[in-house]
Amino acid sequence: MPSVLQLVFLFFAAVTVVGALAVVLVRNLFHAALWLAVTFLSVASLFIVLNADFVGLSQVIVYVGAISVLMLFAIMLTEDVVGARGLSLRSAWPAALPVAAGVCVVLVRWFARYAWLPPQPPKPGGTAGTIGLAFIQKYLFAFELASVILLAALIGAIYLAKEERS
Amino acid sequence: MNPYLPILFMLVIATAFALAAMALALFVGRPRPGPERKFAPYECGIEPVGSARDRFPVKFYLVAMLFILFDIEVIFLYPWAVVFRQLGVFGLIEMAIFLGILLVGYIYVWRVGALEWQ
Amino acid sequence: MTAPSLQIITWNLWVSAPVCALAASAMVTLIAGAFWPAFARWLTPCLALGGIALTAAFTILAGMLGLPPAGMQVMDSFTVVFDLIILIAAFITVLVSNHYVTRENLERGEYYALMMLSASGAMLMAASDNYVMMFLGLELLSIPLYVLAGFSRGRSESQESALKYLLLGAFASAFFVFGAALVFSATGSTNIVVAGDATERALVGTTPIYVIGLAMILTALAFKVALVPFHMWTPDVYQGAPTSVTAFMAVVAKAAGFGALARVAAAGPEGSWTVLLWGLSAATMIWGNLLAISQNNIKRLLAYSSIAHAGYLLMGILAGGRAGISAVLFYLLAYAAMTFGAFAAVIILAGRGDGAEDIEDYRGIARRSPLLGWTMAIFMFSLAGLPPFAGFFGKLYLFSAAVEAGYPGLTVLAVLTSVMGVFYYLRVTVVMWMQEPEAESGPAAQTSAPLLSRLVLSALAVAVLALGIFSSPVLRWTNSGSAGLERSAEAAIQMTLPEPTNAPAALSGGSR
Repeated sequence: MPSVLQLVFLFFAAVTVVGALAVVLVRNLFHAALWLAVTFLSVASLFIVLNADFVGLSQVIVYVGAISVLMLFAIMLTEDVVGARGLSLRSAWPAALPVAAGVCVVLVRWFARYAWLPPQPPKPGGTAGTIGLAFIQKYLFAFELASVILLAALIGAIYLAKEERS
Repeated sequence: MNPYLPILFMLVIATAFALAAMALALFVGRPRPGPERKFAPYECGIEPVGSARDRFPVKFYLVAMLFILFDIEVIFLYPWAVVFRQLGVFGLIEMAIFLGILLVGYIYVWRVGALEWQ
Repeated sequence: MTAPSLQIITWNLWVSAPVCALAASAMVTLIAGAFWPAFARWLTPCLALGGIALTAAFTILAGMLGLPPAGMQVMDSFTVVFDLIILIAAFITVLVSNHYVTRENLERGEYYALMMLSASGAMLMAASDNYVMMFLGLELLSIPLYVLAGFSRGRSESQESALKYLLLGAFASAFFVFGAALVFSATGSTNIVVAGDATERALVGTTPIYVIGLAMILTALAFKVALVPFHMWTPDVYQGAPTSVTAFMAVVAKAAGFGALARVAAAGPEGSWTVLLWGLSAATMIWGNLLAISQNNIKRLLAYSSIAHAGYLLMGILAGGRAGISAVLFYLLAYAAMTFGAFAAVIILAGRGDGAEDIEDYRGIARRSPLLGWTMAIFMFSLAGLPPFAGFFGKLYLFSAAVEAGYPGLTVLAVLTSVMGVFYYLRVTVVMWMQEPEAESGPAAQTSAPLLSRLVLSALAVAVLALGIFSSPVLRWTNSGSAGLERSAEAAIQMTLPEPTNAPAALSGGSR
């Protein structure tokens, strides 16, 4: 008899798989982007079920909140894509299915046989505090570096996307 | 017990409530207006002009990308804010440097006019 | 469990001082360019040169302090030698870029700022003793490069180049992260040396998850340095990117990848790792040289040539040890000088809008401009590996290190493919010196250039010659770098032995 948490995990795992399949199978690109948001959201739920609450939250804020929105924007910015049809992978089914199934079988078999690290008991108060403390110790410099990488991305985004001021 | 389980219960109850309300309207409610009204973005109000799924000016894209970058910054603020008191002055200085680097980016964005709508 | 001790902060500050200095200089350059665009033409390159010089000073200073590893970085003599090679390359890039960005109207603060940020990422990759830091370095190297590849926004080739590089590069980065995650789950550490060592201590042989993880990391780095079969992007990206960016990419991105490979290799992953490197190296040398023969566009030719050189360099990583890594460092220096020289000549010859980029356009150029003819000949001879130029001695050290390490077969292959290389490098020289200029067909190659470009070109030619003639003092310097790499790896193992990690518990049963 699986526990409630296991049932919840299985539910969101199923939603993830269905959502991911819909992303590649739906013919309307706009709908595909919406399905992607569903997939992101259920992956975030999976993280939370697995006691990785910070990763789950980042997933919601960045992927569901920002990346999906940007994708919808990009689709709407592009000519002839909003209602575009026939872009799905349906024609590539015969080739894609065996490859995907093969990779799946190999990964599952390998990962199931492997003796992973014993799971750590969940920290009271969530993982965010632990990560916050790590920011001033081992990952001090890495933390600041993340800011520099964001700066580089910012410069690039502005330079490439901004219209020339005449 | 996972502390997020109540949220899940709330989601389930909310979904059930919405479904129940729709089912109730099906049986108790009066006949609905025609489909051309039902499919309009606003059932009452100004008549829509054209489709909402239209092309955007590229300016929106620029704003969306700036949004993503500063959104990711928020992710870094969150774990810091949770243990803010434990981190003390050192943590404050560290975060000031982090934000200072991004402030350079912000000044640049503002200076090259990426925030202007022209 | 609150603030770290003052000592740790000081170590952290000094170990990361060079990268901080370069990143800060990049920010100053960016802001200066944004606030005074009218002066961008001369102000931003001057700021960039100053920042790079400052960073070099910090590097030498930090190297003299003899610091322990801090902040997932090691400031050993390998880092110092490597950082200085990167900084020299960045310095030359600024000088070489000047003519190009002025001609193509790209003189903006962003150009130099992104270039410096990318260089700081390259420095981090070689200085990191941890896969987390290496990944951050990889991203800091790559993200500005994606933008720089598309810096000529008006040209569709440049845009295509940026898009291809971004899509494939992002894929490679994903491989790196996944690989690092697998290595961590197999060994319980993200430290490169500790992760490599944990598997040895387990005495159950290398676990499959660790091997898969390492293979994925190797894939990502092989993409960055353009090893066959992860090289497909190289010709298109090199051709489309602005030429000065191509030069930077060919030298700095490649060097960064090899710096990271040297760190991973120093951790001593045995067995399948050497087999993989052997195969990659052989395939890269054969395929890169073979495809270079049929190229007509000079930038594509140099792209395939850079692939072939990656194959030679990988031999040094495979050989490992002091001699192998020292040869890699020497070769990187020689490769930087001759590659920048070749690209500097290409920038001048192409003319406004990069019109003349086919080798045929160079017919008889040497008679119109002896300077271009002579310098290009020197760079081509050196790239081909002919004595007495830097390329010859670089190959000599690499090949002898490979023979000593017990790879005579691969060395024979390398010599044979080098002979193939002589053909297409000499072809460029022959076209420039011995063929008559065709009667006005196609865009004519330019020979006029500002004084600075001519000075840089001559200086690089002299450097190629000097690196060849005075190779032994330079080799002593690179030897100190490879010795430092070995010492840090040993020290990292010593430091971890008493520390209780949960790695052995995970490894007691490699497979259930």
